[in-house]
Parts: sequence; structure tokens; C-alpha cells
Amino acid sequence: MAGLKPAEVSEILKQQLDGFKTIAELEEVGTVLQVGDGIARVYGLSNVQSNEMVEFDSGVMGIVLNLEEDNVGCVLLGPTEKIKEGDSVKRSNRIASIQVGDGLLGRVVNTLGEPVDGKGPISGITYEMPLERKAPSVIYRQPVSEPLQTGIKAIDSMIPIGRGQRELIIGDRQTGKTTIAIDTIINQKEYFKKGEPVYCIYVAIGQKGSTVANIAKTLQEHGAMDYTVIVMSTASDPAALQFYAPFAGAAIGEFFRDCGHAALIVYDDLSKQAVSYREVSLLLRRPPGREAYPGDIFYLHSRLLERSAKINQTLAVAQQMNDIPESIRHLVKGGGSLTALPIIETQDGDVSAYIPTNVISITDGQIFLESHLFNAGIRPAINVGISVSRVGGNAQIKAMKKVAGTLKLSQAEFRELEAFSKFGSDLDAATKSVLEKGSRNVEILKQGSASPMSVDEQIAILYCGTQGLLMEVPKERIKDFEKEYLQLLTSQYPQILQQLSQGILNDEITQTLELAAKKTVQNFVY
Amino acid sequence: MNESKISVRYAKALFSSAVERNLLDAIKKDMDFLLHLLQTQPRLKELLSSPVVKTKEKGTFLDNIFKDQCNRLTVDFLHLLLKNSREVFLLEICLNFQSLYSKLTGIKSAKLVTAVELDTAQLEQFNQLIQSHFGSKAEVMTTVDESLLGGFILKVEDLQLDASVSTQLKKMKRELVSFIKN
Repeated sequence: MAGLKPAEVSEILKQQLDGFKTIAELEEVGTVLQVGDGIARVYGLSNVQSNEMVEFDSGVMGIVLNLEEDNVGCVLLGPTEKIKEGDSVKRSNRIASIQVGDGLLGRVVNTLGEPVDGKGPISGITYEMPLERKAPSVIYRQPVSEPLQTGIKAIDSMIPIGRGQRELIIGDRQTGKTTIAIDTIINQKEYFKKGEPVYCIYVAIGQKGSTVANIAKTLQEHGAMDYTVIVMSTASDPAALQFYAPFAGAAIGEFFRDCGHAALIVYDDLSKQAVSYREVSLLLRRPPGREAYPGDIFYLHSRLLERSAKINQTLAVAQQMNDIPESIRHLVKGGGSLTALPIIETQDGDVSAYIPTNVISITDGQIFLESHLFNAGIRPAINVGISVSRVGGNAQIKAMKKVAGTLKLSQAEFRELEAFSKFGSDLDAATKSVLEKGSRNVEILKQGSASPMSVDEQIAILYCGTQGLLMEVPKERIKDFEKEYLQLLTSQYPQILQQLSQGILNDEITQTLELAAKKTVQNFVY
Repeated sequence: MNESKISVRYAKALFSSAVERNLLDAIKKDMDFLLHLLQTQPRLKELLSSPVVKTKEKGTFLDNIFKDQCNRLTVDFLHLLLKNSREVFLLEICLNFQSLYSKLTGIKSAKLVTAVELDTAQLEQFNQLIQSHFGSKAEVMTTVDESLLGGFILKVEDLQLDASVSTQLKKMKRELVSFIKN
């Protein structure tokens, strides 16, 4: 608005006034009986639907959650103080929804889709997407077949994630859960540049404003905001906004998914969302269950995560998908996907608490992070033994499958022997070699934050590890070896890396990799 | 527990015993009076819902106000509520009673807010408007609120026709502000 002259402003205002409707319309209204703690009970509104938006006198919006015999319970999406008993409440005839479009990319928005980054309104065409929508049913889906590269060696090799999968990231506080998610987002830059973008949505639930600002800054610095939307509801937002935030994120993700794009959504984190849902449920006097969570807390998470899917390639099938919002019906294309990385924070490594077990059972696998690994300097602090990916194996590229196929088992064996070897000093040669190889693999799998690696380089270095080519390199110099080795490959054998990224792994390639490894190893042997 | 059931049940009980004793109109009047009191006197609601005031004191208090003004049945009903510690739900019970009444008689309760006092001819026009728009008779309660500036707000049960100048101004303001923001 900066460059607008006063005369132009009046002209625009005049146009607006000309189009202003003065006809009064019949509205359905109710009266506030009781208000407090972000909840209002309203008498009347006898035709209101569940999940419908209602508007209070002061302009504050609410969402109807409880339909009772003589009143309805609403959650407020704004300050409670602005609402008084006896205020009238209007139906909006609109199911809770947000405006979604390409203009959201690069922006930070709240649960209602309003920008909160101070960069002005959302530009471009937007489409109305409902917050709550049924997940695509079976016939419109396709099995997971394409990889979603996280750029993290430990994940792409041992716990591969496919597009359309739901992979849980679980661990105590301060174990690097968010880092994995952010690194994955940063790694999608390569696809954005190639023109096959994986649009990313990061949903921050109940976090500190400063944390979200930091994440936005990190993404900006790595050029990842061009294809990313951040949905935030900070700890100071009303509970309703917090528990609806993932649904807003999913609505944005579905827009990209249904338009035939690949999308990735991170819910950070669902334990906080469960807590805010519990708050609202208890205030609405719904009966509490285990850990005081309401009975439908499982359904809350399952219906959210079920919306991640790989959509059928065939256009005709995709266009018949159930519950497509009218606003985007003409844009629907097949082959899109929505991959979800929900995050759950555990207390003292307790995965058998209520919410963790629920979400573990809903998702297609989990990445388990442990604080003792983190403190031992193994970062990302993934516990390989209990981390799994139930469907991602089908999505791994062939070369990676061949190279890293046995890595997970051998690392698990190494962990077992490592614990055992602490008791005695006399070990036989076979055990020793397993230990030596395993500890070198651990070094290879270590990776700094915000430094994703492309899949061809991952395969090249993992090949050295699994084939035991590094036995002569001292453990503490593995990182230096990695750097030099990859430099050698990129400078002298770029065609090899090219082929690896296409999933090709033949004798010629393995020979070259071994040759390059041997050459580099010589620099590290004393 | 689902509390909304409580008020519905009490209202039904009162309603059916009023019908049995042929006191429906009298009780309806009492309920309207009670509702009006509860909506305009927040202290009354406060007193009823206060856990500090003893039930006995509440009883004498209610007797003092209502014994001479209301029907015997209403006063008994209030005592029943006190005995069962359900006095908090009085407002909801009144509302439910009204809706039961309008269901039985077909006479809806309407509220008309205007900026200026209306004469009988104008009121008659409104009655016709209600008849034609809502297909039923209505008992119109009129109030004058100068802050409307002009026009009227007509509320018939759950439906509202807001033709007041102040609302239109508010709408206009909102539209212009949202346009400028964009």
C-alpha cells in the first residue's frame, strides 16, 4: 500500500462503497449462555453443523465442536475477554477452512491461514480448503514407490522413507528431532532446482515464537523457504488454534498433493497438540480417559495422518477422488503425494506412554532418537535397532538397496557385540573385525546438521563402509577420508556419481569406487 | 456429564404439570418474568449460583420476591430446584420452557429492537411481516436501543433479521478495512 496516493485511496473506497450490499439478510443466531477458558456455550443455533465456523458480536470466530440437547459448545479462535454472556452468535454456514494457494510458499501463517511474518497479504489466487477432510479412500491411492530423500545417510540407507509415507520421529527433548525434519526440508532444494519440487510444510505447534523464528531463519539461509510454508501456533495462542494447526497444515499439503505435486509435511509436535486437544475436551466436559486424554484422541491423530497418501497416477481415477473441495476440482491431477513426518516428544525415553504408542501404531515406522547417543556425539542420534520403516524399502533406489541392504543388521550386531566387549579384553579375530567395521560405519553415519548429502555420494561412501575398505583408516580420521574421497569422485569420476544417482550399480562402478577408495586410503595410513 | 439434559428434563416436567393443571399461560408469564430478571439482573444469577449462600437463605429470598407475584406452581418449582441443587440451571430451564411453549401453541417468541419508539400501526406491520415471513404468530417483545441509529433488528427464535443502520455501518467499516489491509 506504500505507493498509493490519497486520491487513489478515495477512488478505491468509492468503488468498494458502490459494490456494498445494503440488503439485510435473514441470519441464524444464538445467544451466549456461558463463556470462559476459550470455550463458549451457546443457546439457539439449532441448525448449526459440527465443525462450522460461527461469528460472535465482537468479530471473534469460533468453531462448533459439541452439539448438545439444548445448547452448542464452541471453541473460540480469539480472545475470550471480548465475548460477554448474552452476546449474539451468528452462523457462517461455512465449515472451518483456510485459503490456500501457491502464494503461501515462503510465508509464515497462523492456523487460520493469515500471514504473521509481516510481509503483507498472501498474493495470487487462493482456494478454500477445509481443515477437516476425509482421507482419500483405497482406490485413489497407490503403494509407496518413490523415495523421499532426506539427505541424511543413516535414514536414507537404513530407514528409507517413501513419498506418501508417514514416518514418526520420536525421542526425548534435545535429541535432534526438529533438526532431522529441517534437514529433510533443506534437502528438497535439489528437487526444487530441478523443477520437480517437493513442497514442504512445517507446522509448529505450541512452540516458542523465537524457536519458530530461528527455524524460519535457518530455512531462509539455506534457500529452502522458496518451496516451504510454515504454519505456526505459538504456546500463547488459544488451545483451539494449537490443535487445529496440523489440520491447517494438512489442508495446505492436500492442495499440493491433489494438484499432482509431491509434498512433505512436518508436524512438530503432536504430543503438544494432544495436550491442547485434551485441554479443550476437558473444558467441553467430554469424559476423560487414560492420562485424562479424551476417548477420540486416537481418532484425532489417525484421521490427520491418514491424509498423507500417494495418489493414483491415472488422471481419470484421481479426478474422481472422494471429498475434493469444489474450489480445486478443476486443478486435480494424479500422481501427487503427501509425506508426513510427525514428531513426538517422549519423557525420559518412555515410548510406552499413551500418545507415543498411539502414534507409533498409526505411522508406517519410526525414527527413534536417544539422548545417550546424542551425548556420545553420535548425531543424528538414531537408535538403529528399534527404528524401522515399514514401507520405505520399496521406495529405495536400487543402488542404495544393494549397498546398504545389510547395513542395518550388521550395525545392530555391532551394537550387541560392543556392549558385550566391554566386559572382557580378549576377543577373537572375527569379533574384533565386526567391531572395527561397525565403529567405522558409525563414524560414516555421523552427519552435521543442515548438511544434507545427495544420494549418489551417500551410496559411494556407504559402499566403502559396508565393503570394509576403511579398515586401515584410523576411526578419528574417517570424516577427513570421506571429504577427500568424495572430492576425488566428483572431480575425476563425475559420470560414476551420475549413474549412481540413477540407481545403477554394476561391476564397472564398484571397481571404480574401490579404486578411488584405495587411492584415498593411502593418504591416511601411517 | 451431559448437563444440557438436566435443564431439558426440568423444563419438560414443569411444562407438563402446567398443562395438566391448565396453568400454561400463567406459568409462561412467570417464566418470561424470570428470564427477564435473570438476563437483566446479573446479581440474581450470581446469588443463585453462589455456593456460599445457604439453600435455606436462597429459599427465603426467592419466597420474598416471587410468592406474591408468581403462581403457586412456579414457587414450588423453584423450591424443588433448590432442594435438588439445580438452581444454577434456571436460565436454561426458562429458555427450554419457552421453546416447549412455542412448539405446542405455534406462537413464537420474537424480539424487536428499534432505534425509536414504535406506534401501534407500525407494530401491526411488523406482526404482518412475521406472519408472512415465518408462517406463524409471534409474541413480540419490543425494546428501544438508540445505539442502532436507525432501522431495526427482528429476532424470531433462532432467526434474525438485522436491518439496523449501526450493523450496516459496522459491515461497511469491516469491508473497507479488510480491503485496505489487502
